[in-house]
Order: sequence, then structure tokens, then C-alpha cells
Amino acid sequence: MREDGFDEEKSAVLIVDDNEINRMILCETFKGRDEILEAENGEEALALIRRNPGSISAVLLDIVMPKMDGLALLEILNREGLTETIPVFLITADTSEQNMQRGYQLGAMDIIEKPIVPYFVKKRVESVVELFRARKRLSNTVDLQHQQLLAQELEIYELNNAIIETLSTAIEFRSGESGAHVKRIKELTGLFLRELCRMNPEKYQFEEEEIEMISAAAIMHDVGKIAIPDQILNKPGKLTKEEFEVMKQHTLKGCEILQQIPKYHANPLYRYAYDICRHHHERWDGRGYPDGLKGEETAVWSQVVAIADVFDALTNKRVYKPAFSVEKAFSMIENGECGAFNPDLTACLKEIVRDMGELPSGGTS
Amino acid sequence: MDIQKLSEETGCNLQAALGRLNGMEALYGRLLKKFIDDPTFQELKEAVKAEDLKAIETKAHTLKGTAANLGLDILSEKSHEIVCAVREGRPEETEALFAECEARYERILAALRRME
Repeated sequence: MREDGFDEEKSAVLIVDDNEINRMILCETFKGRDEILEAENGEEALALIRRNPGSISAVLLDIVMPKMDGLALLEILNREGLTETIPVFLITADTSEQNMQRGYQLGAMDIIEKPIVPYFVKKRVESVVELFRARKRLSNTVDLQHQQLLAQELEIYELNNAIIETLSTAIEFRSGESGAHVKRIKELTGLFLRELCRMNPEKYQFEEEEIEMISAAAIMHDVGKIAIPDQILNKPGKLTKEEFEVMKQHTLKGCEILQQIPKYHANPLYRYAYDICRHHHERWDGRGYPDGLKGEETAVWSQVVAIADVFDALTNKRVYKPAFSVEKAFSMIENGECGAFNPDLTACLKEIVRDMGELPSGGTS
Repeated sequence: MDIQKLSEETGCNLQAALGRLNGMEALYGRLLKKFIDDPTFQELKEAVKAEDLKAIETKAHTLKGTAANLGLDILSEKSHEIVCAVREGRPEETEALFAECEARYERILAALRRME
């Protein structure tokens, strides 16, 4: 096949007329160039067309025939959309206006009167056949280019995600976190959202695409920490009241940074990121920061990142504590020892922890 | 094949038909010879005998087309008249028109048979 997908397969001209002499004249006209197929009536012609529609470059169709006349056949071809890919020419001794109109309405390319002038018929048919071929080539080329564009789009999308991940990781490095933390938050966010949809489909509905977007946005939740001074960010002991107030600023600082991104408003991913940045320290009981949102005032995705962040901190080693097991982390969260969360989310966490426990590591699941 | 002579004998302008076929005499001769065995006229005759108007219309129409393609204009004209008579609600005229058609047909066929 050529680059534009055009198949140079042998093409045939189908001549449909119940009269042998008429068929002979047309055969003579198209002899040599293409293969020639003949049919005596609409029924035969339809069978030939159906057998291999792609191989027929043109149909020359008489109107008055027994069994199935030309217009009846044309109607069927029209209905099945075949007149769009195979040019049909009506050849008739009856060029009443009524018939001609019907013929054109049903998608005939041209109506040729008998007696035919073979040379003219050939020219008329050939020029339309060439038109159809060019159209097909163009359509194939467009399809090909469309595919190429889609591939490029995907590449850009993946590159974008890589950049977001890398930059966020760089910021997290300052506070002693690692690139793995960023990845885990992304994964946990996805897990929680899917579990929510599974457990409670009437209340929570997220398309897979949306879940992916939110997970990517979750990566940037602590971007604002870049504006927090080192001695506060990395203080080993407990923060003073003033120091804590500064620390809390990382939510709002993060929002400021995100708003600097060009085309920020146009991109839904950044809107999720903004919300998460700002509200991932809100609490279910309203005692969170910066806005003190209560219960469902906080968007679900921000609630998810909040619980994911806490869970991840608990289950990983820190300077001031070892890594806790997932079960212990879960019971601490459930007991309200690490903040207040949406009961739907703690229920999700329970499932997630159970799934983690069942992850096969050589044992049975 | 003597087109001039054949035209006179049949009363048709065969030169024009030959022209449409790009002057391919051999081909034209073959097609004319084939017409001798063409069944359409017989079928029309039977339809007239049976007074089957639908068949008369169809067969006359077909005959018109074939005759026109071959340049047998006096035959195609008469066929056309038969078609019109049926379509325009004058079926009583078909018998007379067919008689005229038959006369022309016989004349043409005689000439074609004499062709070398």
C-alpha cells in the first residue's frame, strides 16, 4: 500500500443492462483499461457489488430491467451509503425529468442518454472515477495525519506530566521528602478516588480521565513549601505558634505560584491543583486551615489528598519516628489521632489497607 | 460493409452511429449482425398480442434504447411512440403503432441479413 493508504487494486467497471447489445457497446467502450463485470438486472448487479464493493470503480446502470430495475437498485445503494464510494451512472433511453430528478436524488453521479456516444461516456465516467479516487486518497491522508497528531498530543501530555512531577519532587527535596513520596501521593489519590466511586457510585462519579488529572494535580500540593524558610521547614522539634503560622502559609503560597502559570485558567488540571494546594490541610470538623472549611465544603479531591498525605507520612520513616504499618496507620486515623476526616474516606482507607494486606508476596491471595 | 447502401436500405442514418463508435466499422458490423438475433422485438410482439400494457411499455422502451444505440432511428422513433401511447393513456393506439413498427423492423432486418 502507498503512503497515503491508496490501494492500487485492480478495479472493475460494472455494466448493468438486460439487453446484450447495449452491454456489448459499453463493454467495447471500457475495454482494455479495467476489468469488466456484467449483470442483466438489478438483483445480479447487487450480488456482484456486495461481493467486493471495494473493487468496483464505477457502475453503469440501465433503468428499465426485469427483476430489479435500475432505480430500485440505486435506492438500495443509496440507503447503504454505497453511492458515496462507488460512482453510479444511469444510462437510459428514458430521460423524462421525473426520472432524472429521482436518479440524482438517489445519488447517481450522472445520467447519460441513449444513444450513447461511447467516447463521451468514457470521458464522463473516467473523470468522476478519478474524482472519487482523489477523495479517497485525501481521506486516507487526513486519517494518517490525524493519527500522527494524536500521537504527538500524547507525547506532549506525558512530557507535561513528567515536568510537573520533576519540579514538585525538587521542591519536596527541601523538606527531606523524596521523589517516591510524590509518586505515592499520586497513586494514593487515584486509589482513593476509584474506591470512592466503587463504594458509593451514586454519590461519587469520576471519569477515568478526571481521576488521572486529579492525581497529577495532587503532585503539586506542597509546592508552596518553597516559600517557607529552611529553619521552620526542617525544624526537628515542635513548631512554636508563630512558626506554625508561617508554615500554614505554604497553602496560600502554593496557590500564588500556581496562579502564575500561563494559561492557568484555561487548564482544568491547574484548577484542581489550586484547590488541592489551598485546602489539603482543611479538616472534616472545620478546624483546619487556611479557610476553616467544614465537612463537604471542602472539595472531595482536596479531602482525598489530605488523608493520603497523612497516611503516607505515617507509613514512612521520618527523623522523629519510624515507619508505621499500614494497619497501625489506619487505626490511628480512624481513632482521630491524626486529624478529622470524612467517614467515607476512612471507609475507603479500610478497603485500601485490606487490599494492601492481600498483596501477594509469594503467598496466597 | 457499405454504410451508404445500408443506410438507404434501412432508411436510417447509420453514418451518425458509426461516428459515435469512432468509425470502428468492424465493431459496428458485428453489433448490427447481433441485432438480428436480439429478442426484444419478438417479446414486444408477444406483449402486444397478449395486450399486456406494462410489458408493452417495457419492451418498447428497451427496443427504443437498443435501436437508438445502433442508429436504427426509424425503429427507435416508432418504439418511442408506442411507449408514449401507453404512458399517456392511449392504449388503443398501440396496435396500429405496432403494425407500423413491425413494417420498419422487417425492412431493417432484411437489409441486415443481406449484409456481408
